[in-house]
Amino acid sequence: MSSSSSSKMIELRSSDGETFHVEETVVLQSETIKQMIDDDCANAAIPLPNVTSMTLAKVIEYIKKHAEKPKDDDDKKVAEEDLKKFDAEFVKVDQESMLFDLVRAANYLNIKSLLDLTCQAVADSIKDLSVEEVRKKFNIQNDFTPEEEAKVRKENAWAFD
Amino acid sequence: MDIMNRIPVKSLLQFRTVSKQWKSYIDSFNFIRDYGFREIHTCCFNLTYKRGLEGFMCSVDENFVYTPLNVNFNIPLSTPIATSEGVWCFSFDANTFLFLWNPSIKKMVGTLVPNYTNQPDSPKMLFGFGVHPDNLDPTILKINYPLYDQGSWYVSVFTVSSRRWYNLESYCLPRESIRIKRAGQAVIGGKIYWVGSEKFYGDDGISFKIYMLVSFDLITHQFQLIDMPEQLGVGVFSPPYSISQLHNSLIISGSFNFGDMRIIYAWALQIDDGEVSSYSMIFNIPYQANHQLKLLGFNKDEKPIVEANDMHNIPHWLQVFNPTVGRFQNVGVEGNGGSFFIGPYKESLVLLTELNNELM
Repeated sequence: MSSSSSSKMIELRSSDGETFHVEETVVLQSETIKQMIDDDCANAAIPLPNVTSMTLAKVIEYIKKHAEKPKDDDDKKVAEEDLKKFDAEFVKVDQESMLFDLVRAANYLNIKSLLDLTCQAVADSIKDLSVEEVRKKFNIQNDFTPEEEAKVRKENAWAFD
Repeated sequence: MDIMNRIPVKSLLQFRTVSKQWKSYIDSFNFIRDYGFREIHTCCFNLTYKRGLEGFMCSVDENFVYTPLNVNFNIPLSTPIATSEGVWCFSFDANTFLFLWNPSIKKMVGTLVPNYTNQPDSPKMLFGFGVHPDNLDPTILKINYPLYDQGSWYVSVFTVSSRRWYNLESYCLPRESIRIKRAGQAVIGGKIYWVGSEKFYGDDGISFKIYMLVSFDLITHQFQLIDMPEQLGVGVFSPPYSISQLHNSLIISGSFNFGDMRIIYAWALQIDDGEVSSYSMIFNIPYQANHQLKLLGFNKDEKPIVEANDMHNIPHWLQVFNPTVGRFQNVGVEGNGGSFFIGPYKESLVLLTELNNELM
């Protein structure tokens, strides 16, 4: 495409050494990388020591989709619906650890919309869990005595119905 | 953590029992503050009203489906004063004490109303309520001034964090000729607003009133007077009127006669730096002249909700404006005049660390 050839390409390197080439206009969604480009630190490949290639590939998939510009107003509505569907599918990951990796990556790269999306997905996956399931999921030791736990529980007994 | 901030309050109340660390994290001042207030789309607002000697409290969704709320206070003896960010303040049993209620966590705490023998009579006692915009500290005001003559204001302030009442110094108060209209209040941008008035006598000896806005800053605890734009026509042709809010706009509403109809109107006011910076009329709707309407608030589509009666009948009805037919329509609730009160539903952890049903 002519538009992509005119856009400058930025090289990103993941923690495991893989490099990715992404258009500058797309990668600017990351405040962290934008800052690096503004500071003129992006002449060589940008190292991202906190992001694995698997996570980075997902992040790039996300920012590429979100960089698409609708042509007109009709197109805009369709695009918004399409983007909603994309977001909903995007957070349906096989491995839950991937979701947490994406939260960390979005946080590190400072991509607000991706951070919102992934944090909400994690919150949604937790909110309906029982207390015991939460402990299991995060490997948390219950350090309350049974009496203490019953007391805390009693403070808001209605919430356990 | 951005994730815990997105979990509904009911789940958070359960997660307090996960471990000691989780409990202290959820109970912490910073978490409660950062959690803030969130609107829930399935629940529009809470409604209270009385019918005969009975009292009702229910949550109302966007389709006006009423779900009774289980509350552990006596509704007939409780008079709603105000809501701020989903937290309610009631006076109980003829002003003997006040209580705060956060319906989202079902938490209720009370405080006795202090009596000061050096202050004027209580019939003109007025309460105000608002949640501090930064630290979310619930703050109650008790305002006294003489019933008939002019004389000093006496204002006491209670904050949940300090658990005590203190009297405001005179430099914080408005001039003593100002009176507050008991037509509701609004809390916007960290300030409580009321409609105020001041009485003057013309050369002919006939008295007239000038209306203004009275604000109380929840951070600095200072009162301020704000001129009402003349174009609003407030006071000229249509007292009494009510004050409410819609998002960040102050709403001033009233009714006036127009031919053989009456018209209910509302202005939305924006206030910046202690001045009305802009205003616009958001509706003016004609209705039958033998009816009375009072604006209570707005539904999800920002259509006005009113308390209505036809002067000949004792029950008052809850009505909402239906734009397709161009008039107000009953939404299935009737009660005593002046007893209807609605407050937007918001979830928050305000009062979480207080003991339930405690008198502070």
